[in-house]
Amino acid sequence: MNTAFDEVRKIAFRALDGAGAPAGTDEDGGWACAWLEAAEYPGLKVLADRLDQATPEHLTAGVSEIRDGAVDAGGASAICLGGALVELAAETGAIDIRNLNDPIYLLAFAARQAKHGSSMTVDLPSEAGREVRISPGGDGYAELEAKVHTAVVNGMTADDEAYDRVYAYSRAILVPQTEQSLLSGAGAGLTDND
Amino acid sequence: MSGSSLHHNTHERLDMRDPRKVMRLERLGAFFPTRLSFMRTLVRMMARERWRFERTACDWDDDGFGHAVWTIETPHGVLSFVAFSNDLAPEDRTDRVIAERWDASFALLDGEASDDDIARLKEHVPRQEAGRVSAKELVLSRANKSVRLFAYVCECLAEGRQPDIGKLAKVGYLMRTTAVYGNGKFGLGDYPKAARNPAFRGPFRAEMLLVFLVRNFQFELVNHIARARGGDKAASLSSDCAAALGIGNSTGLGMAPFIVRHPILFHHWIAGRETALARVRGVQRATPEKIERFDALLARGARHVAQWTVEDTRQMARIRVLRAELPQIKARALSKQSPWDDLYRWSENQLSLEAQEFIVALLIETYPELADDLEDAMGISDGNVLLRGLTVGRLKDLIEAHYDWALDIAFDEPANRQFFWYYSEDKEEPRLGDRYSEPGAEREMRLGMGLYVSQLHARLAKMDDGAGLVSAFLLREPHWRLAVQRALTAVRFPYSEIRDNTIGSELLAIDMLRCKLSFFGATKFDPRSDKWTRITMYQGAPLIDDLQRPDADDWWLPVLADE
Repeated sequence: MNTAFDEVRKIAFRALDGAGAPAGTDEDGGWACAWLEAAEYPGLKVLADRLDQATPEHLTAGVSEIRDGAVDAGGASAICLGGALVELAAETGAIDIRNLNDPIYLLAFAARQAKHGSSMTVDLPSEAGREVRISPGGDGYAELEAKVHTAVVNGMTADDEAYDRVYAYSRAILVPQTEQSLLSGAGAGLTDND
Repeated sequence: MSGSSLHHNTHERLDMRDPRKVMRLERLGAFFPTRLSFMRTLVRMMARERWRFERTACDWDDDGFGHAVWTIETPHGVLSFVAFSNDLAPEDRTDRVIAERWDASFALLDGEASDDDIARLKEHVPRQEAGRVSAKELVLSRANKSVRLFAYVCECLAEGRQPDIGKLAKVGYLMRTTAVYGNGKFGLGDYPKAARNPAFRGPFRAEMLLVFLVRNFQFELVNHIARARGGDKAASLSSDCAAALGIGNSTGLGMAPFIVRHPILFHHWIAGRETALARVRGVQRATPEKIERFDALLARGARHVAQWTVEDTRQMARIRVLRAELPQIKARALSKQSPWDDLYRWSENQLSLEAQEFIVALLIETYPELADDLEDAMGISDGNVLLRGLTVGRLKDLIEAHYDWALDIAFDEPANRQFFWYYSEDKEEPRLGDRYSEPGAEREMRLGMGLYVSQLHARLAKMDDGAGLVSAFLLREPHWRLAVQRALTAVRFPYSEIRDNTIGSELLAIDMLRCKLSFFGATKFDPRSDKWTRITMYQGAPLIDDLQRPDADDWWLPVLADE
């Protein structure tokens, strides 16, 4: 389907919010999802798969161990923790991360960090692996940023099924209507017609 | 914060107002439009760049139903405005966002509208939220006719006479918008796409342009209907009548989350306004010409306020106080040295918040040369708040220095967490609920920033290792991320945060609405409750054909025909 960067960002943010992702990490994850889609990575599918599997602990847990440039993510997802992992690497130097799910999301956060003045390189694991290294250097993912720019200008195409799955999760933040909310929640009463 | 330079984009040493004073909700809720408001800056740009507007297609029947296209030529490229109008059954008429049908619907396009575009948009634009648009479209909107005025004006014109201008001015519009969408919604082009065009680099520029074009649309529509009904004897709406009309808007809580969720952008809006005020207050001596201009604007503003009457008792009481105070401003002799600073300081001690903020807008209006360059910075929404070695102990100190207002609120008292903000399942309308008597608090929007940062401070106070890095702390306890970001944002962007409890029982959300609407440039602020307001946009603004008039920019607090 044809969509827009901010539209994807918003449904991903809401889906994470509705699933109980920690405040702030939901915004990070929503933005990173849109960035990956714009860069032609399956941000929505990865998010939808994670939400299918996630217990609240998957999304809310912090890392269990940080020591001497090594982090044990304990199965946490980079969708929520990726921003903080990249920031730590930018401050302390290269870090090796074990047991991290959805590491592809680190690409978005590394590209964002480069815009803030610290280029970082993410060495993604082989397909089945979950060990990642983030180290200083690289070109800030300039090629991917160019794709993102093109998508923002021209609009982008998302996989219908993945979009619909994340959209369905995004509905979890909506509050069912009651008579009281209809009457007084918006302050307009039933009508404000002219 | 005397002597601080708070505006990000200047090396001036200015005596800016302290954010502790400015960012209180009661004061924000007393803001008036200024010459930095977005409608004003758009009109100035269109005039300066000599934009050309032409209706290039029109397929209206005798009742004005059908579609029309306007082409706008700018130095930065061509834009198109496509409008659809159709018959609306009375039972379908509601100005709430939850409506599903409207009298008219609109899209603003980047580039020329082809026949294929129009055919595509005809299927989707009238359906609004239920339709899909493309990245070529930048803004989507809809409007309903004023039941009080639209048919009356058509009837008058068809009979060859002008409508009563006092009646026009009192209502203020022929059509009222109920939503204006941009930035990617429903597949629209993202803001960065729009901002490639220099015309749209200011905040909400594309949205403000669409509303300006809707204003013109309503004039052409009534003239068309009158001609169809009255034939040769029909009159066209006079320019005096048209100038008395803007576009109505009714707006609710959707305005409020925006200014909380975009703290850096909000900072730049406030900082631009405060910088302009500080510059004017820094003027050492006022020339006779400036004093004459100030007096003229004050007189006009007083007449505008005299015409501003609302049913809301709180707002009407404030207007009455303001009316009584304006003669005191006129009567006060200006000091020879630093006259405007002296006037402002006097107002802080003697006058209501409404009058103080009226003076702020008046002073900025008096000195275009000290204000107008600031508009360029008001669209900035980026800015990093990197941790860069920040320790837990230092973060705690920063919160105590910059978020002290939140630490003073007893959030363990139920009344201080009375409300929760949420999106309703009904068309995602933003609403405010009572945490203790309504369902849904577990799905609340995270807008209670004072609470979150206060809780963060309590957590930090219990930590043994003040030397630990915040980045590591956030990896272990990620649920503090939003609070950390907000605290650091407030340090670097001191006008970014409303310094009041946005979820407490004392909250009047209407203050947040008025603040944002003042930056749009809306007038006739007319609260219908503490969460809902009517406003008028572009009332008194120049018409499309008048943009080149020398006085085209002179419509701050316009005085309309005697009502």
